Amino acid sequence: MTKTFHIYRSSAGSGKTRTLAKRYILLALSRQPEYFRYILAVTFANKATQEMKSRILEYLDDFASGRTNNLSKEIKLELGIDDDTLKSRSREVLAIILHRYSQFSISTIDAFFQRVIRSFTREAGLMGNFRLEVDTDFVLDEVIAALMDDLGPDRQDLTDWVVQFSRERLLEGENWNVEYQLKQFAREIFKEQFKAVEDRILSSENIIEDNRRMLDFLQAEVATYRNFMRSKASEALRILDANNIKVADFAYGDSGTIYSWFRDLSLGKMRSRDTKRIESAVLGATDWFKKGIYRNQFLAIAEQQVMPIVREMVAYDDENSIISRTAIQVLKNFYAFGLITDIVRKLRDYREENNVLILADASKFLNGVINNSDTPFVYEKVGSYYRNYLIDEFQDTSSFQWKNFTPLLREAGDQGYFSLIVGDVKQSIYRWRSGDLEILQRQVVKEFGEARTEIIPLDTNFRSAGNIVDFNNIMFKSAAEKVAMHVNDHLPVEVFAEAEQKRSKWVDQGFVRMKFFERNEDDEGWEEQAIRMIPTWMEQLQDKGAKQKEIAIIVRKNDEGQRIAQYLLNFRNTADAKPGYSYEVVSNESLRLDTSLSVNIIISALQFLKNTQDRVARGQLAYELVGNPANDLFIKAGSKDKFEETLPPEFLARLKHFKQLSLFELTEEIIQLFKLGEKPEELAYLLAFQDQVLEFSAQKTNDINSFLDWWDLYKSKKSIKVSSSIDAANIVTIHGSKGLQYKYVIVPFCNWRFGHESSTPLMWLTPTEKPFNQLGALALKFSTELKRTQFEAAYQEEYVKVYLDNLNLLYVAFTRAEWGLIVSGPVLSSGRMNSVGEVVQAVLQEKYFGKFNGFDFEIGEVSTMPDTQVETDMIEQQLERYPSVDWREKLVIKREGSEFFEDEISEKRSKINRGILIHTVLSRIEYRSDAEDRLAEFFLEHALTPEDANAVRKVVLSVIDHPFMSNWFTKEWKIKNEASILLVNNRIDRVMFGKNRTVIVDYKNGERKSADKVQVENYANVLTQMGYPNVQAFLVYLKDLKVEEVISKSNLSLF
Amino acid sequence: MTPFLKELAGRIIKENSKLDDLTFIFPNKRAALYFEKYLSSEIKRPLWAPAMYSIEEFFKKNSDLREPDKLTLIFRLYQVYTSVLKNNESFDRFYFWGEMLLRDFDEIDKYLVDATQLFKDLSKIKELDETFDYLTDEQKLFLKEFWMHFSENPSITKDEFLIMWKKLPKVYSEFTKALRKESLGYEGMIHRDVAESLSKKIPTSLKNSKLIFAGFNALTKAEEKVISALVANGAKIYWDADQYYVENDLQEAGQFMREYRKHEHLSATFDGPLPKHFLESPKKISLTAVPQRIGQAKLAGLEISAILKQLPKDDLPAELSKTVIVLPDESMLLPMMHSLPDELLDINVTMGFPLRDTPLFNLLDQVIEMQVKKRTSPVTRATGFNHREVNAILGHAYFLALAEHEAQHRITDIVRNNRVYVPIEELLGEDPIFATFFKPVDSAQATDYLLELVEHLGSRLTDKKSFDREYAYHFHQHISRLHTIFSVSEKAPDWRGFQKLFRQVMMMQKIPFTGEPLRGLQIMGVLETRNLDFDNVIILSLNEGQLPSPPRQGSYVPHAIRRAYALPTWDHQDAIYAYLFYRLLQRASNISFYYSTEPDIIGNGEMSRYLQQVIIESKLPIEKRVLHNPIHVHAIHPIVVDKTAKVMQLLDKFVNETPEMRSLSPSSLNDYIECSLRFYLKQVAQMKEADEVEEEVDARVLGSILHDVAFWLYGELRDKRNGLVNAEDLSVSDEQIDRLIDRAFREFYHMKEDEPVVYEGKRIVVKEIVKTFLRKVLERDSEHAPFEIRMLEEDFNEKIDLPSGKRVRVGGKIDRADATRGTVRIVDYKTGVDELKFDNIVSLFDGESKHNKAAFQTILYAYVYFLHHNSPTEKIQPGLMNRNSLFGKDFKFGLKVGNDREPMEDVKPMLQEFGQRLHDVVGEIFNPFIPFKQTSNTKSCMYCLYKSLCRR
Ligand code: SF4
Repeated sequence: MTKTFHIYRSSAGSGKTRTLAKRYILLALSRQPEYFRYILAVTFANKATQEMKSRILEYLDDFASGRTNNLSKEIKLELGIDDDTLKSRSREVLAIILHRYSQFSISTIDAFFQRVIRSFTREAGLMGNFRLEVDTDFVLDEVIAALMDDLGPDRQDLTDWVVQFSRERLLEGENWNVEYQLKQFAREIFKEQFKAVEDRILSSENIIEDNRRMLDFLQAEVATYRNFMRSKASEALRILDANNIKVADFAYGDSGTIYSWFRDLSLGKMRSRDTKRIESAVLGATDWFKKGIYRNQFLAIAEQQVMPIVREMVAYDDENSIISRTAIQVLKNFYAFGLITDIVRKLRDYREENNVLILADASKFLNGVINNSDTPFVYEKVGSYYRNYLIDEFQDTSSFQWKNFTPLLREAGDQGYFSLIVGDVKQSIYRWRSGDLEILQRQVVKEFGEARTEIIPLDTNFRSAGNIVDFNNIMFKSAAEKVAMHVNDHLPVEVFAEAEQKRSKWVDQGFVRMKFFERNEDDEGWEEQAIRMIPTWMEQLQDKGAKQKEIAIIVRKNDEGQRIAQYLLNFRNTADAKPGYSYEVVSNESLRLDTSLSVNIIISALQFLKNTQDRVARGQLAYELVGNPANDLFIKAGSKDKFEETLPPEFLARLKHFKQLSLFELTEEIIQLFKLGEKPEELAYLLAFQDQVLEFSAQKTNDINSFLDWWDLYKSKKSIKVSSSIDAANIVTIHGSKGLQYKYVIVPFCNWRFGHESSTPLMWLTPTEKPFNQLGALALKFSTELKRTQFEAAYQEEYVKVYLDNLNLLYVAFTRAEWGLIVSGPVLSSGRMNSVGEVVQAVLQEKYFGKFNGFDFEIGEVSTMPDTQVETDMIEQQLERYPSVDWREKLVIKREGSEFFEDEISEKRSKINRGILIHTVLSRIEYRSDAEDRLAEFFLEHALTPEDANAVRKVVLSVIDHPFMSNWFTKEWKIKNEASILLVNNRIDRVMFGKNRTVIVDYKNGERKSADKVQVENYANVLTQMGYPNVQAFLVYLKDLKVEEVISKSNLSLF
Repeated sequence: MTPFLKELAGRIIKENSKLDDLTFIFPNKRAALYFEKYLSSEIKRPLWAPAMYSIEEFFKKNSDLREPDKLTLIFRLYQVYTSVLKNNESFDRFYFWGEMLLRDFDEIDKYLVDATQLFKDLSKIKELDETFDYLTDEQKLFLKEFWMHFSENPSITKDEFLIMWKKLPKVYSEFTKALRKESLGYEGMIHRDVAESLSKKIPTSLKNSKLIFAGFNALTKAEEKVISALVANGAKIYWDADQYYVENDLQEAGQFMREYRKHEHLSATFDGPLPKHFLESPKKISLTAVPQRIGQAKLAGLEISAILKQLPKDDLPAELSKTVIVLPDESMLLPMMHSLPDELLDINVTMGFPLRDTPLFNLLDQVIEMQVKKRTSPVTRATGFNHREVNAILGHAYFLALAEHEAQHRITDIVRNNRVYVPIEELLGEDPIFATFFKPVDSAQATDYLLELVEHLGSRLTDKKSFDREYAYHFHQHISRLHTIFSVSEKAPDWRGFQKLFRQVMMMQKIPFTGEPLRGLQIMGVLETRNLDFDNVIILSLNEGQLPSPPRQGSYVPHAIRRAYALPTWDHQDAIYAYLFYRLLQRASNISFYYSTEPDIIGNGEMSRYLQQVIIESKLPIEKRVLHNPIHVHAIHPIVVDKTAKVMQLLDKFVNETPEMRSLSPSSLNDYIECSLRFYLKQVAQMKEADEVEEEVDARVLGSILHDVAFWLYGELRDKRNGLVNAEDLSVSDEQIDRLIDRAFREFYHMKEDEPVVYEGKRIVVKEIVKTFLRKVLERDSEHAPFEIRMLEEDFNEKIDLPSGKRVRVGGKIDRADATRGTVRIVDYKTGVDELKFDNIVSLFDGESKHNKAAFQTILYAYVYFLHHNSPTEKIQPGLMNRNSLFGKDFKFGLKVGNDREPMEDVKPMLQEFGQRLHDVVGEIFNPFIPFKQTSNTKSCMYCLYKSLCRR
């Protein structure tokens, strides 16, 4: 059996994209030109998709126009074709791709899934035109609020539960306001871990009731355990007390001794025999006491009177602790957990009412679809058939995503078609977004079988200089071993098995510098020193000719970045700043939209418009406009009467007008009014902000208030893209740096702990043992307290993963560097291995013995990288100002309403003026005979309410049957309605040609105007000019059915 | 370069002396308009204009079926659908699918497909070949490809598909029958009718009129049939095409032309070779990459002003009319309009102004939401509206325009009385508008209600300049349609359903702009450019998903089956757009493309394929640009406020002799200590938030209710045995507590004496929490009893003399002071996070480090108490009854200093230092030379009102 399924184990800088592009091209070129439409390439990042597409097109264009390069060589070789064939085939394929572009299937996993879902919406009971929602926090706020509104007599169960929840919290001395906690918890429902167990949880009829029972049971469990231990412990203490044996008599006094154990338990605290000291102490009293005269006497008492109790306690503890400790963990989130069904329900309502699909739900949703239909049918619905799948960044696939792909891949495989996946388990850092490296590491091969799969390592590093490659090879091989040893699990080693990379260019160039600090003489912590070091690094690099913008400072967390940015900002204006050097830095943080003056002006203006009584908004607006608080600005802004002085009158004058505008127009007019468009340095922010506004009002609503709410939630995440053209060092987080590369990388705080991303997550577990297995699933917070519970295994597994996450982060950080890697951190040698910094140093100690003195480490000479800039033919264009005008001045919308409504309100309906309607119908009717048809059509078009229809009809007929006019509508006339004459502007309502006479009729529904006459006279002249005999003209005033003869035969007829 | 239609006009004038016996048929009305203009420009003296129709009008003219509006059609379809499928899907849910199904039917007819054949269920039929001998092999192939899978492994989605599929023929026939009965029909029906009748026999009226078709490209089968028949009868066709895409078989743009050139009837109409304008007429092309969208509009705006400068001023509008801005992305209309140069006066926009952007839409949407959320209180049985919508409506521009004064009053009342749900009677007013809007309406009357509102506004908003009446007019049109529909339907949707429907219908609607169609700068959608040519062409949003627009959503007819019956598929649409794109370029001389470099949230939307084609294939010179603005990183300017004369004057309100007689409260002192700027902004400048309805029953509410209840409760106790309290006194009944809590709520929400308090939403929680808290307090106190209550909620204020001679008042309220066993406890209830622990007196006055507000406050109380009631024999013990101490394992009253485990028993020894520092702070506040400034301790900023002002 041929290996149709390739797994590329890539590593940092191993040319993933190129490999993928190459594979694609090989497939596309090897068969008939249209073949490309059978290939689906999937990437994860949005930008990657575009990158991939343009890469492929560029390559093909190169080949088609005979430009050769390594790739073309390789391809010719693999396909065994000559230059001309490559050239011609490439030309064909390129052309056909460009013109059947819809079949050029390279997309993100989300985009692909959306496509499938869209084609199954009906079957899936979705509304067709649903909107894709990504702002989950925005949604959750609504959901939880709605849940809270439900409290009351109609939902007693819910109410009681929530009340008890809050009370419980209060009794724990926590914040009773559960809303916040619920929001946090509710985030879970978007995680796959939850979705995996969702159905099982929701299956229960009355979950709150079940939970209540479980709750009582658990609390009882815990209580009995506590009470037993408490009473025994107190007894023990009493005995000791009675024999006045004091804390001080114990070895180590209070700290972690059996005495403290008694005390804590007697206070009802949970306290396990978790320390060595206790473990041994409960076996026998021998080592309990300090040396001293009474020691033996004490010992005797202890052995005879206390130890029996202790043995009882131990026995009991062994019996019951596991369950009650588990119970305690379970109880932690139990109340929130109990509300999960209601939260999910509320979320459903939200989706329904707002007709949205939440992106986080998509893959599970699709899972339903895919399971319920066989692959060919899916293809059929989607409208395209795929044979070859090329999937990128596979380490970040979630299990649901994988489940969705398997059937498709399997189908392809069964047909014997080739597919491949590329990924790097070492760079899997998105577990908190449900990415699961196990799939790539183990599952795939399991599912497709050794026979079919071939694993190909991409083991050359095209990114970094040799010295860095070598260093990382050594570093991560043994770092992985150390971590594996520490957590005693093989996984890390497995994951880093292929870490070893070959060097490609600059074989023994590039450099690594590391510096580890201790608290120094003037009592400065390592962090201060590390930060202070950064400018020095920069100077050194610039000395060698590096540009500031080629440097990246990679940090673990955002606030670290901010701290550094702040420091450098100040540093610039200190004496230490050396002239001629640049210390500029940018980060997403420093480019946040809400740092922009213009943006703040707009926002505070909106705040003010939302509620003109809001003095904070007033004050801020005034301040932002003026720029300083002089002349008691704030006092005026705060006062009832004076605040108007602080705001531009033209602004206050337009308040009413503003209230009429939709969100986007409003912000535009604010920009215009305050001339914000005239500050060049602000334009980038202004544009980005307006794009946000446009997006929001198009996607969500036009309502200012909800925009402001949304802005509050997301402003911290909105910033303008860091642009390469500013000469400043980039400060990025490790996650932000993924997939990127920088010539010089500084990792100043190489010391993050082997902990979780931000807050420790909940683990959704399926309990197997009594009594917990009565619950379909459970949410437990990850913590060491899970040891010695029923979930110790789960704990252990997560524990390993956490270590791996952080090791991977380290890998990503260290492998961004092309030419220079600079690292600093604290000196560590505790052997506890709880921070990456320590692992790094441990490796240095071992592998670079003699090269590493515990503080400094260096490989290679600090130097600069040979330039590899590719020239673009793009001209940079600046927007010199932000034009913004009030178009209403220039343009009117069609006037129909002004006549439609009567000015004064009379009783219902007749508020509508039917004049125009009548006019329109009349000018369509040729003869009496077709009147009814025209009317019918007309009513259909204008959807007139029956009342109106009849009214109109009455008038129309009364015209047609009008004694004077009735004969106009007879067949003796030839009729031109709405007659149009070239070189004459308006159309004539009605021209009638009779035997040697011609009659012009114009209907008027307004008041009489002298202009009316002039107009028809003009018509008459034109007709005469055109040679029509005896032109006659009438004006018909519909209001009162008066016919006026403007030109009679007589006064035209000549003698 | 002469426009296609002008060329044609010239030719026509040359070939005909009179025009009124000619009949022109164009793809759309606009072409006719331009054509007429060009004709006029070719003649000297007036002439009857020829008859001119859009193909649509032409079909309608030759059919006796009339076409109702889409909404009506969908509703008719809905009625048939539900009766055939025997399901009771609601109309609002159906609407979208109805639209889709209607589109399918429309296509089936326009492409003259036999519906009953198409909708056959072939899942069972093994051998297609004999059953469908009239099908071509290719067709059979597609059909097999599709149906094959059905016989094999069935699946849920397939079954669902089949259920639907089997019903469709019936739906189709019933639907068309029903329409026909009233001689109604949708486009497709009309087309099919005409096609069938014309192909049999051409009516005399057409026979002897000279027909001329111009500017057509993608013909439906019906159109093709009709036109062929007429051509056979001598009608003429003029095509607008270019060699560039017709001669090259790969160019989808030329796909249809290539077919017609081979067509048995149409081929004849291609006289001579096609022009080569695309490559040969001189062109200047520029291509600008822009991050996202707004930038494109702004750049285009600047480009227009540049063009404007070069144009001859004599007949500007005419000159301008040679320039077009094309907006494939409709939502770019407003951004574009706002970016046009100030000096530009003549604009013509062929797209409409979106109804959803009108103030009236917002108002009606709010009104509907108000009706959706209206509710009758389970207790009072009174109907009320939620304050959110009510306030939004009262604050809406139209209310301000018509009844500002009253509206404002209502708002203030609602806020003052903290009405979460506003009873209707509280919403009435002099002005009729109130009665009209604020009444509970049953969803069955929805449309009457809305019509009434719209008419009300329509007739009262009389300002001639504003657009309000137009908005009203258009809403009136659409709502009337809904009205007529629901008047005949048995079950009206509930308000939710109505809302969904309303949104779906209104979101799509546009209000047409007027303006000289043929003069001034033209702003158009892609489709409107058909047949028109311009010298300067500016196209925005050239991204995939915009141009070509995404494959239109969904169809009930699967892809393969569409192919089998030659119904249009996605590539058909792509080809149409390709033609529109290239055609627009072929005669233009200045072309600017703009596209966004930012993909959408799921990574779609790179540069449009058509751009890629032009760049890679045409080899025309293209100037590539990228928008890039210099970015500057904002430095944060510290805010420092000097103590001006005005400030000092305002501060004086805290001085004893002044009339205001205000006093510095502990919390304001805390503010000052934590951040002097905050103190200034809050206490001096009075920069406070506006009051809003407290729907969020938050900590603040809890605190105030707890205090009231505790005050009343202990008040009663005190008065029992003039101050003495024993343990047994403290056993209070639940009834009593409940009573007091009710009372507290009433006072807080300004309710009437007898008004029952409704516990709903978070109020319930608060009530329970207050109870629990209070119970705990009582429990703790009974452990402490007996004691003597000395003060309850007692106001005090203390004069502090400054060197400047000023006497400043420092004051506050002591929750409780009680005494027993020689110790006076100064008690403060705290429901927040406050702690007992504080480092030392210094720390209480130091905002830069961690500083314990509660401790400061209670010690201040203690200090005051000491000054007034000190007895040397008594200890003074300030402390908190806060959540973690009250509910903690072992409760001991009192604050904790430094690392002491045990609470401090007597504060007296500290008071001297405290007093000293207190004087210093107050002195500092009044020291004219010390300005107010921001704290350096950003922790204090976390929950500060002025965060964004301070950029913290
Ligand atoms: S935000 Fe911070 S600095 Fe600004 S006023 Fe509030 S506390 Fe002071």
